[in-house]
Amino acid sequence: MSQWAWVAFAYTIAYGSLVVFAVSIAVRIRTTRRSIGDTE
Amino acid sequence: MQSQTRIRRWPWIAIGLSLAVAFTLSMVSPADSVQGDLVRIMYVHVPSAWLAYLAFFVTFIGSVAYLITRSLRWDRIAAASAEIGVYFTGLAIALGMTWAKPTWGVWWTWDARLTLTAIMFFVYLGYLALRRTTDDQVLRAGRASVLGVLGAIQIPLVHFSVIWWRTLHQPPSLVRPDGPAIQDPMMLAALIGGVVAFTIVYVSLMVKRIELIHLEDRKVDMESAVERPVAGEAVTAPELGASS
Amino acid sequence: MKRYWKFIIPAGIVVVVLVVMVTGLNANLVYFNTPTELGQQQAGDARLRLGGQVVPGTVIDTETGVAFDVTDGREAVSVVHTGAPQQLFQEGIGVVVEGTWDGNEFHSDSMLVKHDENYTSDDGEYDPNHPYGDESDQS
Repeated sequence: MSQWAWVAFAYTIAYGSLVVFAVSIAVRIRTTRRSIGDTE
Repeated sequence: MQSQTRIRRWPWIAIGLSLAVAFTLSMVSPADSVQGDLVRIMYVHVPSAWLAYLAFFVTFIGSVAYLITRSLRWDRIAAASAEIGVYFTGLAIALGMTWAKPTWGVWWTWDARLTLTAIMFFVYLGYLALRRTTDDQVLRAGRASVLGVLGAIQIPLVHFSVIWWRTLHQPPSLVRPDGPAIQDPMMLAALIGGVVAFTIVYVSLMVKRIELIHLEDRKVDMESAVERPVAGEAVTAPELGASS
Repeated sequence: MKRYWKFIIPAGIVVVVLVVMVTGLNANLVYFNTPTELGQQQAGDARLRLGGQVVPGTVIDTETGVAFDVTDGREAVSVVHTGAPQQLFQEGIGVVVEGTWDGNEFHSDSMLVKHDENYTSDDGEYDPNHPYGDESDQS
């Protein structure tokens, strides 16, 4: 693998997982709010 | 019904903006004389590792403050920080591996730094598991805060492992007594920019994660409140018996 | 008083584990030997790790791999490596090789590159003011 391929691999892990982590919190907030009837 | 737990949208905007700046800085900075473009992996690996320390330190502070004040507010901070810390420890390990393979030549080796980081990862996974052992918020906070205090011993152990013992992992470049070991201003900007950006991400995630814990605790309270009419019927039963 | 026990017992376990780690495992936490230490090691079939900086001008391609000298700034050891060298392998860079020591040469079949904590965009050459033994000398 070329050097840039390794960099791309690492940045996909870093930024990709950050987005997944943030979105998972956002979704959990939404579903919990709905289940307790707290309107947004 | 008006929302009882405040909704904050700024954390999402802050995460997006700071990551965009950090990404730009790490892409425009020059290649290293030895490693070439591989050095760019450092600009996400080092901030991740730094956030793991910061998050577990906040867990330590929250745990100590809970044990002193017995206020669940502190326990929520400790819990939110531990979860984010576990994520960033895992991320630092994953990024470290993708950096190690093309530079050192192996994905993993059992030197002191890597081994102690792996142990820290599993100890805080244990912290999260411990929090699941009971639904009682006070009991949960008590158990977790003990581990939150003891686990913090690992933070200096992991950081100074590269100085105390001879490791394959290189010593710190940024936090060292004689100043940063990076001379190029653009490389330094990319690394410090990454650390600052990830810290903003941490604070933003903390705000949202604590909001979630508030909501989840309210849900648990509401569910236990639903069971109360059953207890109420039991109270009225003797009354019926008395009238007949 | 009773509630302090749930703190004291795990704290005691942690302290015991730490003491065992730092005293008993201290030797195992050291990842490699320096060339100076290797001189005091017994020659034989025991597998060892040797770490140090590749001395510029000593790298020779062999039929089965590469041969070079490794130094910690004080002593130098000849290494005969079997297999392809790592991508970043070059003169002046840090390496950790694994193999056996026959008292004269170190026969390695596994090589790791140990890059240092200095980063520069210039085409930096080997800096004799920063010999590899900088951190290793303390222990």
